Amino acid sequence: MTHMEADRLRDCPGGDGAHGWRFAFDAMACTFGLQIVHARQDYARQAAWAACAEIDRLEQLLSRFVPSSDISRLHSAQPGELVRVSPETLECLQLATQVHADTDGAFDIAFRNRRTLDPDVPPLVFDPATHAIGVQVAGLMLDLGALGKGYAVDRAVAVLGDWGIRAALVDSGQSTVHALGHPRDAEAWRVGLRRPDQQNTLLGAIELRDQALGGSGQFLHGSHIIDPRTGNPVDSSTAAWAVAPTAALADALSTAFMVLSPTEVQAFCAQHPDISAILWSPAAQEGELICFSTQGGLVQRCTGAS
Amino acid sequence: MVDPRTQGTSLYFNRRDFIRTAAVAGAGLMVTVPGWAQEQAPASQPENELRIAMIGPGSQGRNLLTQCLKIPNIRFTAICDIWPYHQDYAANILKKYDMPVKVYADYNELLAGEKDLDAVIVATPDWVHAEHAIACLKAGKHVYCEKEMSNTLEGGRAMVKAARETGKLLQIGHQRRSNPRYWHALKMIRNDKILGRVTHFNSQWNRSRRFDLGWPEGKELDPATLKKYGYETMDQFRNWRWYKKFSGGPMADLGSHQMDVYNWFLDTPPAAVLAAGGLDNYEDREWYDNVMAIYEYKVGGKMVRGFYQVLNTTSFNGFFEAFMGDEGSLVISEDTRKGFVFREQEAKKREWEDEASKVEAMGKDAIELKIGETLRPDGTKDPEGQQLLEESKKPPHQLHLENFFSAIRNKTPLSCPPEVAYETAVTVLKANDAVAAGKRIEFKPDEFKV
Repeated sequence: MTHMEADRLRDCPGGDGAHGWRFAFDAMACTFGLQIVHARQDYARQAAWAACAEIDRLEQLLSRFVPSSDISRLHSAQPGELVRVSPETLECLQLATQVHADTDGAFDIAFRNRRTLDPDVPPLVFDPATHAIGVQVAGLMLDLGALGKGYAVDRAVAVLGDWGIRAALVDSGQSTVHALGHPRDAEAWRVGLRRPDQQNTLLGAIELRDQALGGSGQFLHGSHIIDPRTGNPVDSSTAAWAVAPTAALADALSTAFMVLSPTEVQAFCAQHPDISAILWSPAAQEGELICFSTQGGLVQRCTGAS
Repeated sequence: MVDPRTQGTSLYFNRRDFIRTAAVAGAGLMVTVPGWAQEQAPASQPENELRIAMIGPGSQGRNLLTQCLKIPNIRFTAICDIWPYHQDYAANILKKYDMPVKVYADYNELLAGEKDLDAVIVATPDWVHAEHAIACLKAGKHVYCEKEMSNTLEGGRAMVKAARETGKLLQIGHQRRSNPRYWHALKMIRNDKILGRVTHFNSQWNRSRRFDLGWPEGKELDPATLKKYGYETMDQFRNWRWYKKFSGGPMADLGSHQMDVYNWFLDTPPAAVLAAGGLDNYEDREWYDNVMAIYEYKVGGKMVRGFYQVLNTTSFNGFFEAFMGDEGSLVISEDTRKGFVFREQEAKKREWEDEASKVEAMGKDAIELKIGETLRPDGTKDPEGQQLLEESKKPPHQLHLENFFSAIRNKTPLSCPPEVAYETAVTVLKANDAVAAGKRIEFKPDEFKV
């Protein structure tokens, strides 16, 4: 039986059947928000409970603060050791490795190890046949913070889909959001882009339907995004958002887009038509949003939110 | 528009850092490694594979399924559940592991169709444990069966007998029995006498108010199927733990994990139980939502008296087991954040005590219960403790499953054979009887034997 505490799922005010019943759930050191469109609030709550049980299960696999998690077991593995992990952990780490490669190292869950790593030896090797991961470095220290929560959001949305929910908005700590379907009275979910240093200032808004948005910002708690290529904190005062098919990808890419230069972000979007980027800096472009997205095969550079 | 909590002004991008304190090194005590070996081989070796089926991949079944898949050379070949929703969930997980499985609704068909199974994991509701486990044993399979082994003593006895008659292994899911943290605590209490003489205990499982479990629309079982398998409604099937026909109630669901620890550590079942409780806080259910029990144990001719409570309206202080002796107290829990030793001021100081790092817990100085930091007399770390520490990083159910699989392969002892689980079943189910009767019940030693 699950021993997840029932009071971890909280009803939130302001919801209704058309725009979604609202719930909040604390996990992975943040608050997940769920907005679920359904005629009955009690049904929406049961579906939310099932979705949050999945988030809770993933935290047990992915958190570096849970001693028995897959990530903790990888951390304590000796070089050369094979560690069997869950398919979800394997999927997350394979995605992280893929994004690392696609962003030329701008996204890096092993950034804490990177300075001491041999560039020719990847820290992890995958053996999907046995669901094992080979650890190739001593003192491995992975940080899935910029991907795991988005992944959990995707899985929660999948569970809601199992429960027959056709429209929902699920976010992790308001930094990554996955939009399933659309509310009854609109064609898409409308999501605001907040200025990171001024909580009540909206820079723009974006409409999402069966898409995810991830955001990274710099002002609130000082600089905390490390450029894995230099090991130093990113010094530009910016925010970056990524629109992607999944929240895991949007989560990871928004972090990478903080690190990459606007030119590099533009090039990335040109190569990945399903990804859009929005960048913001108070100094550049008179504080306007810069958007890169592929429309009709062309990457457009535009100002103002799309 | 999007923010569920601030009524839709804007998005707030906050990458909060985790704030947790690092664990503090603990007491220098030797521990012993159990006789069964860790499953080591990383690569798949078909010739060594154990072929497994699961009956009942519901919420706990899924947990066991996931843990099994971390253990090398375990191959699921079939699953069985009366609810297609559960069947699909489990089959989809197993598909990711390249384990195509045959799916059954009826366990008789499973046993008829899967002749080459080595073992079956039974994670169905408690009231059918006996039926399912006994059928599997009689079909020549080893069985891992979730606790409570049965919601009736007749069922539990029949399971013990079936295991004996068939000579097959039956492990019951009291997973603390395979948890190195608990062995470490047991050794501190029993061998090192860290608490002096244990005189009392105090334990609880408090959890917040439950809401009813639902089911996805359109996926409910039809009335005929429900009736065939003994349920009147889909609600009964989903919320079976609240019904006397199907479950032993919270004393069995939760209390049995913890009373099992007392039977184990005190090395005897209880002598008497006095209990109060009731269904006071929920509508349209049957089992007591709160039980408060006082147990009496006779240990070496002396009384050990302890309090146990299970509540379903508050999560205050969560779940733990505390042992109290005349030289100190020890708190342990499956929740790895809880593990402390409190020494009485007047107790004679142990030679290692000054070495041990202290933490503040419950407003007092405490020694953290931490395995792997064990020191030998020469001041070096105890390698056995290090090995135990590695084990303790595994999820608790995985360790208990490994113990089961090791027993099949290597004939190492089970940590929770049915005779042991039966003592625990008597211990908790009789507390329910004491609530119903409104009186103190004395156990006869024979009651715990089959």
